[in-house]
Amino acid sequence: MPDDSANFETIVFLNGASAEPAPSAGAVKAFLAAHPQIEPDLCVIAVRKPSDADFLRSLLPQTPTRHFVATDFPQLETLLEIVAAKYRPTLAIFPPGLFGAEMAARSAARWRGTAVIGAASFERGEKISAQKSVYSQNLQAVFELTQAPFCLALAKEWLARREPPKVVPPLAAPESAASSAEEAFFSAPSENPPRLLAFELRERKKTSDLAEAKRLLIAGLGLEDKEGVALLSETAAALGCPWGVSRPVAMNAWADLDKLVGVSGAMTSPDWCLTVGVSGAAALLAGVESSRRLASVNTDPEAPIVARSDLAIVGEAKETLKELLLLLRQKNRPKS
Amino acid sequence: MRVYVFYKIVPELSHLTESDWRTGTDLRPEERYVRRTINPGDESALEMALRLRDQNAPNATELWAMTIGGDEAERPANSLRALGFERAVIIESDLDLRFRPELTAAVLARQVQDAQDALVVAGSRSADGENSLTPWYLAEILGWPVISEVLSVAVSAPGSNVLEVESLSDDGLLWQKVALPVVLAVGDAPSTFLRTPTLKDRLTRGQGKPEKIRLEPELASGLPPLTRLTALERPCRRREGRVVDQGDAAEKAEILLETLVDWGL
Repeated sequence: MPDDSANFETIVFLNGASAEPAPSAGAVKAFLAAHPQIEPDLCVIAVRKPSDADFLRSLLPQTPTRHFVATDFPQLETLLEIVAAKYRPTLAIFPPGLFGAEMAARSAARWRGTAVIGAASFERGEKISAQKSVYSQNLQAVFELTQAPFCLALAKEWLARREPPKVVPPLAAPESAASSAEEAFFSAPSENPPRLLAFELRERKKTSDLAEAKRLLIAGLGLEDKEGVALLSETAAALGCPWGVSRPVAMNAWADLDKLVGVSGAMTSPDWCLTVGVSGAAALLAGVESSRRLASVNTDPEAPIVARSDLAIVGEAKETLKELLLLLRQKNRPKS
Repeated sequence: MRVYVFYKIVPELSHLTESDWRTGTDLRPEERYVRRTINPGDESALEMALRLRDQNAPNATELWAMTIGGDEAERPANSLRALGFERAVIIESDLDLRFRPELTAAVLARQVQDAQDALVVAGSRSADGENSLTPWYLAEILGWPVISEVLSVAVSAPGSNVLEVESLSDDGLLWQKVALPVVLAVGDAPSTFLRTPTLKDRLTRGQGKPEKIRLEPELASGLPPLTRLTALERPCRRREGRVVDQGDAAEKAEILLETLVDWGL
């Protein structure tokens, strides 16, 4: 294992043990491309087995890496113990998502530093500052950061700004520990952390089709009830696109949480997006504003979604969806 | 088992008009005149605590609700007492704590640090500050484990100090069995709207002045801010496209379909 007693200025953390490691790593890469002054000198990757790190390692090929091998969750506790004791960088960058947010917050607390969750940008000038959304995505704030280490968990917007996924040929994968001077592996202990008596991953996260969708149909509370979601699903099938929902619809349990679009869910960037019964809460808009074209259906002409739309239809969500479905069925009917 | 729920009173942001969002030198939108409400994630945390009490053996759960604030917290505190929280404490402070999660966590940690086998439940982020830090800072100060994005919590058996917790991780839906003490951070948890007290509940339990304590000034003066807000702006992301408000639903759907076809459908 390499000697890590030297100080690392900037450490990047990636989570290769999650259900979808590539998008969050792509977001980190997009952030680094937009911040050329940040030069990571160490990359720490959490993985289930060393070969899982191939793709992630190729994102930062010049940066020395350390792999943390965790056979299952919740090993984050151990990663945190090791990292907080072993390193003390000036800047630590974590990917968007739950892993990144928790690691950034708890590392900052242990290092007596400053955490920023949802960082949109970072600037190291006369003063150190970071930009992020506040007031439920309604306002953009700039904060001066006063106390290093600075731990940034990136904003989910960086997921929408990453390059389209490419097939990367796997690197020669070291299957055993510490195969080169530039790589090292930590392993989580086999025992659970104290006070954790048992755990089980009950349902592996479904791969969402929303983030990569080219066309998208999204609905809000204007759907009125759970039956409205059935109509939404039918219309989406006729349009040939996936569908998603706003936070209030998911909180009412009319649709599963994996259908959630916005800062708490999928960040999308389709060619076009149609929203129905969505008033335009900033948290949802953040998830669709990278759409090349945006159409909306809403009863209120003053709703925020109207000014954000390329085409705004003032009307009832269900009624419009029913009419649209009729037209789509006529259009899709095979000609005799 | 003592359960502490930390909640925050926030402005109802959906009631702010476009002009209210313009910020002046005070770096604050015009939020003084809008309705105040319990922060959404905290509301879920409060409801989860009530469900835990309902499921646990009678008198085995002692519920405490705590918030930092002023007069605006009195009404919600009384509602929580009406719902069965034994204590609803307001830690009085006029400090601007919107972007001070480290201070908020330190104040709250002071309240629970001596508790044995306690459970802390709190929302992950507040609607205004959106720091997403307080529960994790709190857990680190206390040296307790923390579970993020909690969806539900139950005791493993009535009267037990072992909890079964369902939560979301980047991997999927996780189930854990944990011994107290622990901090639970609640994010988007479906179907956890806070129940409403009945009139009878209000008359029997939700009357009088809520309990108040002062935020210890030396705690605030001893913790310089980790972040300083230097700018606060409303991003301008308008498209200003075509608005169709004439015609019946069929005509509108036709325009919509034509447009989608034009966009490549």
